[in-house]
Formats: sequence, structure tokens, C-alpha cells
Amino acid sequence: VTRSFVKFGLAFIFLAALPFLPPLADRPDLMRWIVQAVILAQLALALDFSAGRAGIVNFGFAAFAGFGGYVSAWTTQHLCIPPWVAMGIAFVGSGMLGTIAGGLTLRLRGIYAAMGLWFLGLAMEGIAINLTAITGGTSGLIVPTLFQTASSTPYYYVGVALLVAAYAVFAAVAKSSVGLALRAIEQNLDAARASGVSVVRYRVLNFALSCAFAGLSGAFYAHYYGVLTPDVLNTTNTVQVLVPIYVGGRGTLWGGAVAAFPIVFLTNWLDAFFSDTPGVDLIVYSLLLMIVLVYLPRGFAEIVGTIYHALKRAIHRAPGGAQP
Amino acid sequence: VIKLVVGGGGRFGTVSILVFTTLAFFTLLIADSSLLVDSIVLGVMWALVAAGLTLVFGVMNVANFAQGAFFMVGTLVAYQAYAALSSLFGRSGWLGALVPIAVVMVAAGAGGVLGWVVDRVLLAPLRRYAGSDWTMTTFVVTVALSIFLVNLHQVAFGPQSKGIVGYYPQGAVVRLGNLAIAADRIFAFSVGLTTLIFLASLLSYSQIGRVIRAVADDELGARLVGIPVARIHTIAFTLSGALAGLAGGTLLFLFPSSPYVGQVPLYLAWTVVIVAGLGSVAGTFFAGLVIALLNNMTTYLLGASWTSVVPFLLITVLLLIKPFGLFGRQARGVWDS
Repeated sequence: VTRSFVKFGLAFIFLAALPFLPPLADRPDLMRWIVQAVILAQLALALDFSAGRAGIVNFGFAAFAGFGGYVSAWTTQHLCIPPWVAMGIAFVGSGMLGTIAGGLTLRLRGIYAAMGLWFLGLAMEGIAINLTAITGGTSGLIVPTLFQTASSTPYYYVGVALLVAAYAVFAAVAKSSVGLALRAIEQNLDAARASGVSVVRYRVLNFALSCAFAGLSGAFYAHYYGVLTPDVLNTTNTVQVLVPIYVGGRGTLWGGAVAAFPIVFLTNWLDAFFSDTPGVDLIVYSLLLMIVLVYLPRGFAEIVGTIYHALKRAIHRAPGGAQP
Repeated sequence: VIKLVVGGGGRFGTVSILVFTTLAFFTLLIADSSLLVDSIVLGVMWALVAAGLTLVFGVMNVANFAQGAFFMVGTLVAYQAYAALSSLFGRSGWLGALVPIAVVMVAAGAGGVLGWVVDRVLLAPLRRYAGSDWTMTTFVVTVALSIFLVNLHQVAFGPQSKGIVGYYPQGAVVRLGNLAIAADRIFAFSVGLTTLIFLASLLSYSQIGRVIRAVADDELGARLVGIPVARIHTIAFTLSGALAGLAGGTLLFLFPSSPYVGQVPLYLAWTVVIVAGLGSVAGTFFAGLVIALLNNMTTYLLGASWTSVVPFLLITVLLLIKPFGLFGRQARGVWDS
């Protein structure tokens, strides 16, 4: 108990002190990258909860996250309520949309459900483009920001708080009996059904929770950048969230969230490095992605795990090392 | 049981022909006939792209997201090959008239080579340790492949549209009553229909077609009777790439080559697959016509921005009612791990 307490304490101090560490303290551009990575980590966490823990790969994920953004943006503008409350409404709204969409499509299996959600996402993007009266069309909406400051630091703390909260909820669900049922469904749907697990109900529950947190992240995104366009709902963004999950290790929850940080830094760095030839960054990026997927199928989580266990064994074997 | 060729028997034929005739009649009633002609030409092409998707999906359980990128490669190769060949043989005379045919064949060949490379380099190594994750992992791999190809095009050839004016010899027009059909439409339609018929007969009557169907039906059984399954997978993926490349090369006159030219064909071909189910080449053909007509009518009545809403919502509804497509059979065991 004490050891894990110390671990959490150290992690907490590190996260709290991060904005004041030397390279970040006077580099607002790097701080923006960090917030971007935190948002990607939130999204990866939410998507991995359904993709890795219940076998529902939501190809329309970006549309559900963007829906939360639009709900929050619209309610702050038209109902004159503070962004904080609007983000809560977005959380609930996206969760409800997820319940409806999941209730409809999750009766289908694997790739069929993925396709159904994908087409739903495409249709939602089309609706966002066409409903100019509500969404502002392709030019998008101007969204009030959370703080009246140009600094990214306060956003960083809010983002990390949301990330930790989402992780706590997902981990708690995964540990509960619901998580056990979900694991059974993920591993063998037919066997789970035969053992009396109500497959559809658990899948919809999982999916709604995933969508709710996606919507919350989408709302945070909108209130951070201050603009919201239908591009946010595009399939490309779903892919951007899938990448950290597959690189970090599907189903680990933390793997995708951790992988989001190096990935955001890599893409931004590639983007800046090849700024006079746009596209090269994406070539390098997609090549890396293919190599990882084909030749390291369990992602970097496996490598990290191997190194971690090897180190642990080495420490235990060393004379005078820590007691097992 | 999957029959790749003549699927559901009588029912699917009557249903699809009925749907198509109704839609066609409706089109003629409110729009003009050129819209119908364009829809038929495009429908055949989407059927080609979709036939490649079904083939790969049925035989190796891969939901190929890069099929649109293969289409894009087809348009790009056709563009480059046209420039080279027309400067060599000229654009007039009987040699000039043969140029488009050669160009389309080069585009199909390029798509096939690309498909072969992708299967050998990406899918075959992945197959060795793929478990239940196979379908989803390969999907993400093909997504990455598509990003790679699209941006390679962008970097190497620029983002601008690369079209050719007068791709097919102009002037030749067939008249049916008061309906005038331009030569490019006729050429594209004949190429597409010939390929579909060729594909259907290849799958139903040739030895390799029988083997492909055997692998799609029951991979383990096929392996037990000594069929080299890995080689059949490669052949299926090569064939699928060639079909997409051929469609891209043929449609260069309507879809000038650009990095993102494959996006619309990809989405539409997937809707065709969903409508047709994993059934038959003939089902794919009619589904292609229906989807193209639906898409063009949406553009005509509501504007181009609605094409991403109406067809996709209809497809989602259809998927909920009939998850295996209008014409498909119960094929869950093959698709789902």
C-alpha cells in the first residue's frame, strides 16, 4: 500500500510541476503541444475502453467527440451558461447519443458494428456541414474559452484532471463485475452469451460510457481552441485516436494515453521539420505506424512490460537488492 | 455458404432490378437522361471497386480501407501513362484510339502490382501472429497504407488535379432516340461490364476461381485438401488491387487524379458492399447501379453537400434491418472471428 501511495504521489508531483520545468516554463508553443497531447490521451483512453475492452471499434468516434463539442458550444452561446456546466451537458448528451447509437448498431457484430458506426459518423459530419443554422456550416462556430488567458497552463491542469477522472472511472468499471462481463464478451462473444451474459446490454453500457467521455473531451477541445468546425468529426481524427491505441497496446487503457504524448510531439516535430513540403510528415508517420502494427503487433506496451519485468528480476537477484 | 458468382437465385435479381427500374424511372421523370447515363457508368465502376472489396473481405477477412488509394494510384498511373503513350503514338488515327485501352490496362496492372506488394510486405507477415484481432488490425494497417499513398502522391506529384482533356477520342456519340451518349461514357461502361463478366466467369468456371471460392467458403477445409491458402490470399488481394486500378484508370475523364480522389469511391464502394452483401458479382453490379443513382439524385435534388448524409443514413438503416445486405446470405462465420 505504501509503495503504490509513493508511486501515485510522485506521479502527482511530476504532473503538477510539469508546466514549471525548464524547457516548458518559457515555451508556450511546447505547452500547447502538451495540452494537445492531453486531449489526445483522453480520447485514446475513451476509445480504448470500447475498442480494447469490449471489442467495439468505433470508426465514427471523432463524430461522437465532435458532437460533445457542438453541444457544449451551442449551449454556452444560446443558453448563456458557463462553459463548465455546458461541458457537463455535453458529457450527458454524448452519453445519451451513444446509448441510442449503440442500442441500434451494437446488435451487430465486430466489423458490421464498426461499419454501422462509421457510416453514422460520416452522416453526422454531413449533418454538421449542412445544418448551418446551428453549427455554422463549414466555417464553424466561435466558442467561448474556459479561461480569459493566452496561457495554456490552466488548460493543462483541467485536461489532466479530466484524464485522471476518466481513467479512474474506466479502471473502476474494468475492475467491477461489469468489467469481468466485458472481458468475457471481448474474448469470446458466443461463450459469454452462452454463460448468461447479456451481451448487448453490457456492450451498450460500455459504449455509452466511452461516448460520454469522448464528448467531454470534445467539449474541452472546443473551449480550449475557441473554434469548432465540422472537420473535427472527420474519420481522419478517428484514425488519429486509433494510432496511439495500437502503438501503445490495445486494451491496456494506459498504453494509448501514454503513447499519445510521444505521438503528438513526433507529429508536431515532423510537421515543423518538413514545413516547406507538407505531406512528408504524414508519410513518415504512416510508415512508422505500419511498421509498429505489422512487426510489433502488441505495441510498445509489450516492450515496456518486458523491460520492466527484466529490470525487476535483475534487482531482485542482485545482492543486497530489494526484497521480493 | 458463400457463392461468389450467382448468389441468392431468383429473389435478389427481381428485387434489385425492381429497385433500379423504379429509381431510373423516377430519375427520368424529374431530372434529365444524362444523369441516368452517368449513374449507370459510375455504378458499373463502383461495382468493380466493390467487387475487389468483397473478394478480399470474403477470402481473407480484410476490410480494406486502402481500396480508395488503389483507385487513386490507378488514376495517377493512367495520367502518366497517357502522357507517355500519346506522345509516342499520337492522339489521332487507329494507334491513338488504342491508347486509352493500353492506358487502362497499365493502370490495372499497376493496381495489381501494388496489391501484390502490399499483401507480401504487410499482410503476409501480420498473418503469422494474427489472432482474433486480425480484421481490426488489418483495417488500421490499410488505413495507414492509405495515408501513406495519398501523401506520397501529394509530395511527389503535387496536390493539384491532374486531368486530361479529350482522354477518349471525342465526337463519337451514340444516339438512342433523343438520348445522346458521349463516347467516353460508352467506353467506360463497356470496359466495366466486360471486366465484371470476366470476373464472374473467372470465379465460377476457372480452376483458380473454384480454389478462391473454396478458400472463401472454408479456409481450414481448403488447407486440409492441400490448397496453398497463402498464395490464394495473395492472388485475391492482387486481383482486388487490379480492379480498383482499372476503375481509376477508366474514370480519369470524370475524376482527375489528385491525392484525395479515392475517398468518394472508397465510401461508395463500401456502401455497395453493404447493400449487396457478401454475395455475388451480379448482386454487386445492381447494388452499384442503385448506389450511384441514389448518390446522383441526392446531388441533383439537395446539392452535393448532402451526399454524405442521405446515402449513409439509408445504409445505416439498411445495415440495422439486414446486416448481411439485401442480397447476401448468412455469412457470419466467415466474416467474424
